[in-house]
Amino acid sequence: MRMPLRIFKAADRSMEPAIKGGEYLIATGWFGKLKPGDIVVLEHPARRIKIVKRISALSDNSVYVLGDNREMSEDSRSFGYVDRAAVAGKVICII
Amino acid sequence: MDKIRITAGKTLAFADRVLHFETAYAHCDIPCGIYDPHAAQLAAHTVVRMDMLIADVMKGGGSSVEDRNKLIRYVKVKEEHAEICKHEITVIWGDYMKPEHAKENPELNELVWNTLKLAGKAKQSTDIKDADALLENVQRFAEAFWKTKKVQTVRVKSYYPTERTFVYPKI
Repeated sequence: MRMPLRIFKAADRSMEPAIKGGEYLIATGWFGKLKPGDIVVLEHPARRIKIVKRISALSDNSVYVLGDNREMSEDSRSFGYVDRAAVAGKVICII
Repeated sequence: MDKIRITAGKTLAFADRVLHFETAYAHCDIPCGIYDPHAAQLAAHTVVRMDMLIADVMKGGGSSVEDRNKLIRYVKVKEEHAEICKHEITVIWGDYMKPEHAKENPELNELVWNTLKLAGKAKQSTDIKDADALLENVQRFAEAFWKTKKVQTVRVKSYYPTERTFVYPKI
């Protein structure tokens, strides 16, 4: 079950300039419909870590995510579409 | 507004010290950006060289204890360097290369796939033709890599005892 609110700490640079390393992300697990442009925290498809990316495209049950800083991002260009169930939360506030 | 932000940030930083918020990684590896096919090329040359040395030993029969010792060492090094080839190419392909690179070079994915297969074949065999096929594919991969960087390459005769060529970037 997804939590209504979760706080994450951002690391690294692939979401710059929107998110800088060390900033806090408040994310909601009760996000309803997702749309391109939404920033989400999701499970990495191959590793047991959370990643933060921006949704670029959606299909029925999956999302295509990209880092804003393309040169420094490992994202759907490498690992393809990710199951929508892997999305832990939609970022609603960056502090 | 900025004051609220700063206060919220400080509060969260304090809470983080106690609660240890989960990290959301923006990138999943260290984004060092350092990729180079050079190590794969060196490894492929080593595989060729090991097959040459194995052939030399076998010319003399290869049955003495000395020869057997040499053979075991050469096969071990050949095995290790074919694996280095696979590792280096896999890392560049998986971590650095993106779908747009495959779009620009439609043969890229097949080239990688064939190269990994050839590395396996070069391990199984002591036929120098297999090692040469691996080396040729690795050279082509090096050319494809530098092309993604818009860097021209030159293929020249190497100074190694393999006397095969080597692809260098023209930087």
